[in-house]
Amino acid sequence: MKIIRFNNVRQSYPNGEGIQLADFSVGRGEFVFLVGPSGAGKSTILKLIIMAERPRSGTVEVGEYISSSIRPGQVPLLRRQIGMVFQDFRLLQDRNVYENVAFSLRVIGKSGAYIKKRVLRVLADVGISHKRYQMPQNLSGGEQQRVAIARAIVNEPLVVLADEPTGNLDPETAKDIMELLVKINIGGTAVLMATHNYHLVEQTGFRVLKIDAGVIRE
Amino acid sequence: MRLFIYSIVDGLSGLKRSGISSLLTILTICCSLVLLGAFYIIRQGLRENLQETRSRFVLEAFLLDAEPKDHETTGEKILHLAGVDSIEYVSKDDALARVRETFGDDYLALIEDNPLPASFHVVLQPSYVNRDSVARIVAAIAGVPGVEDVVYRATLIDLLNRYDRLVGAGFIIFGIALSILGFVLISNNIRLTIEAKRDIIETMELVGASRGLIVGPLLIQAMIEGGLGALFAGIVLSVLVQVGTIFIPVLSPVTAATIGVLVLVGILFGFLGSFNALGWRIRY
Ligand SMILES: Nc1ncnc2c1ncn2[C@@H]1O[C@H](COP(=O)(O)OP(=O)(O)O)[C@@H](O)[C@H]1O
Ligand SMILES: [Mg+2]
Repeated sequence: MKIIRFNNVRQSYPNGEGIQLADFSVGRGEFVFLVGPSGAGKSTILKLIIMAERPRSGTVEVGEYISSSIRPGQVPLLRRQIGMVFQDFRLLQDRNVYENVAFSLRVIGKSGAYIKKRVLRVLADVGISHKRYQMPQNLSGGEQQRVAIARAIVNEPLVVLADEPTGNLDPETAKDIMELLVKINIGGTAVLMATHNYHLVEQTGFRVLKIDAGVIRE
Repeated sequence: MRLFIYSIVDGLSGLKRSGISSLLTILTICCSLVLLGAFYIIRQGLRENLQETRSRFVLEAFLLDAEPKDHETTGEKILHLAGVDSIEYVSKDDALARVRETFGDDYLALIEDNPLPASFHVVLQPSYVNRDSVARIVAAIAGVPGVEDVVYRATLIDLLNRYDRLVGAGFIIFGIALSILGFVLISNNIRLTIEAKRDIIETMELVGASRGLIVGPLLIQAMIEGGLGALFAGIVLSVLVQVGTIFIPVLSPVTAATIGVLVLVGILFGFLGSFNALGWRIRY
């Protein structure tokens, strides 16, 4: 069962860069690395998955949605099945840790009681419960990334997309975050992690998708 | 329903989160509405004053000498003319008494016979007190049998007319200009607030927030800011009017109803302002 499928996708920009050909899929519960140097097009692939961009040619399938036929109103629905983690964390700076994570559940209209129970649970899972009333700007990078991961998994998505999630972290913290993502994967959630760090990938034994001169194939 | 409650709760906490910028929006709305309100109150005061002046405007219809019964018939006819509000009969003796009152006894002591004619003081309905209607009514009264001559202060009519045009068209144009100015100020202010939240809005879109969930709280927040700004404007205005009446006695006091209307206008401004500012920002 595939949850993400790229069918002969081309997404090159006017300057000639970007994705020349992407043709691959990601299965349920898989852990996949997407590797390539800076500018290779990793973020572009992730943007195509959340349908922030539509491909020039080919199609992207995510869950029940297809890039060629998805309506704008369905894009939020698609994104609720995807957890996003970024290099720069992207927390909502105007609310505390708890509210940042709760927001993903408010988005899908969960009840207050459920939200409270679930958010506290997930914050504990990622090891950040004790900072739940802190504002994001008062947290270290590693802590912010934990909050971002909590937000990504709180509504039990099909897949977590992580775009260089360890890029802004020191090696020790990066290792913790990696372990956390692996733990999430063991729990059954697929993870697609983009990184330019081959070194990080080599040790794990997970599946690797390489972007080579703008081309990704199985 | 849940979205609605969430919007209100989050809109309220949005006030706190936005802090200074919220305060600025409230202040902008307050200032705009004080300006608009002051303008409206002055206009209203002038109008009332004008209306009052109109109701005091009288025509004097001098009568030919005749039996009191004939005068009565003449009066009846005048009273039935379109635009006439009321009439007051001033007999020859009354007229004499009034002159005495004004100039003293000695002045008339020389004259043995009372030369003053009886007359009707004709009060018009206020809306008829303008040059054209007055001319028409004067002609009509002059045509009533038993009336010798009709006298009125034409200059006052001209003055009223000029004043009227000012309070009418001139003020409306000025008021619209002021409203647009206020709206642009408020809208810009809200746009800045929202622009500052650009990253937050983008992140919300990324985690799958629908348009309503993003826009709802922002709209509610702006409406609350609008309402609060208007309430403060109402308070400022009532104080200003209290002080102002000392210098300009025509101002009428700010009532609860006026403040109510003001608050509604403020909420509307907040709503339209943020709607205007948001339209292009949210993609879906
Ligand atoms: N919207 C865009 N318009 C034009 N060029 C773009 C756009 N987005 C990305 N690119 C270019 O496409 C290439 C791939 O970008 P990106 O996917 O961000 O790479 P990576 O994440 O692997 O570093 C880069 O050369 C980048 O400059
Ligand atoms: Mg990138």
